[in-house]
Amino acid sequence: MLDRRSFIKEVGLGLGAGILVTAPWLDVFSEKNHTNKLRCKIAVIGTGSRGQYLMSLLVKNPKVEIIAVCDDYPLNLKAGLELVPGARAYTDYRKVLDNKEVEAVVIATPPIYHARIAIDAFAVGKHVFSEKALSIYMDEVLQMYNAYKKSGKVFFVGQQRYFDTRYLKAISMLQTGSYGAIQSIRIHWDRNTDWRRPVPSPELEQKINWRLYKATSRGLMTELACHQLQVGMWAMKSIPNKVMGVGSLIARAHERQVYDNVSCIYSFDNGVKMTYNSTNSNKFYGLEEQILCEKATFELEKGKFYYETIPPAPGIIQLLHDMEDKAFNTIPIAGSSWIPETAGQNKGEYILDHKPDGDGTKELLEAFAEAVITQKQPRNFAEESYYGTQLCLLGHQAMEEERVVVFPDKYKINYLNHTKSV
Amino acid sequence: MKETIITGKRKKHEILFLAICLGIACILNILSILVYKTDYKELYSELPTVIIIALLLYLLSIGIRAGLYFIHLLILRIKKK
Repeated sequence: MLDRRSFIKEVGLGLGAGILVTAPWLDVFSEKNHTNKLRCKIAVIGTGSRGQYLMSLLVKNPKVEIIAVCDDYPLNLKAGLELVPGARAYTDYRKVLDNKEVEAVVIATPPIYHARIAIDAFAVGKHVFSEKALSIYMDEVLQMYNAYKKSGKVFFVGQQRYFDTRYLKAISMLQTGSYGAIQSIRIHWDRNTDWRRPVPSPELEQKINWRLYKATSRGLMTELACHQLQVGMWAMKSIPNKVMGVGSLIARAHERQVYDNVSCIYSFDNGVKMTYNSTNSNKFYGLEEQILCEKATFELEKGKFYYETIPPAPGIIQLLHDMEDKAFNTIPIAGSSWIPETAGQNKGEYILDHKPDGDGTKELLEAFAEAVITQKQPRNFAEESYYGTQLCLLGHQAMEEERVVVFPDKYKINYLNHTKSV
Repeated sequence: MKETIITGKRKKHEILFLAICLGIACILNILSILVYKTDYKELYSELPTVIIIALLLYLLSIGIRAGLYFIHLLILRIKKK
């Protein structure tokens, strides 16, 4: 189990408590709270693939007891019960909320149900962990946030990069200012999958393949962009106020309604742009968040950074290279007058000196359990997650309306450069 | 196998050649620091490279001297005939 000290040690950098400026939510691991002998009672609502993954991590946490599982799809419910045989099984989430023993709920349903379940859970005094995206509607995301504020309960969202040691260290490095101001952010996630899952009978198509339909999903924006746009916002310590975008169906129009190809440009107040590109029909470039600073470029997924100017080779080596060039290279007598600016060959340096164990999901769930036990919401985490979803949905709106969309005042909350409209 | 004797004179001769090669390599290092405007700490940080260059120059000098020696022997043989 992690405590704050060991987590900070893992992140390294020698920043000590300085990491809490970059990631105030890490205070959830505060060693002041002696919680080792305490346990929280959790119910998991939605035991599909993601729910099962979360459960597989939760069952290993000695501070967690899963006392109930809920799913209205029998195969998922059965799979959930196999992971926690002693848990009570429910098919209606309202019955779970009626269970007085349940202190907190983990919601891993499709995103169209997140808001309703979370708002109802807050209303009866449960702590909530909701998978991302919080919803597919901006209104509902705001309602969830307001319900959380009103309840005074703990609210976590499945944005695991906030607990990923690679990201924590990289963002803290960026925010020291040693690498210069951020000039541009380029994000992409390219996959070659159809997202389709086998359906036992046709009437279950939309229930199981909900990612493919406009009524139940925002496609690449809510499934992938949600994880990545928050990284740009976190690095910038600012929320972009404008977005333009285009979406299209190129390769998979015959099998889905949501876009398989999206491009968005988010604009921050200081002029920095954050581009987002994602496709579902080519995986060559995979995923990456590239943060271009004055003095270095960061590739967070790869866990590397590259100085803009590389120190020159020692003089004697340069002399030997020049002699070799003069002796063996051919002398051009004609050719182009312009040399293409191809990408740098700088191999870069690793952000962490070791390979991280996971993607932060385990630590995120441990943090949730800790917060439920101590009943203390970690600073800024709900707000960061709130905007993580709102930015995806704003991008989706820009693509649908084919115009530049300004962040609506009615969805602003008091956070960073945003002020709640009265 | 035939016993070979390296005379004191030969040893001094070879040490002198090695010292000259080391001197040339050091001068090359100093010149390259000045020409390429690199850090003066390379005077000591690049010592391994300097030693390698000195050894390569020494090997080159052995090759040249051996070549000259064989040419010399060839000329002597022609003159005898």
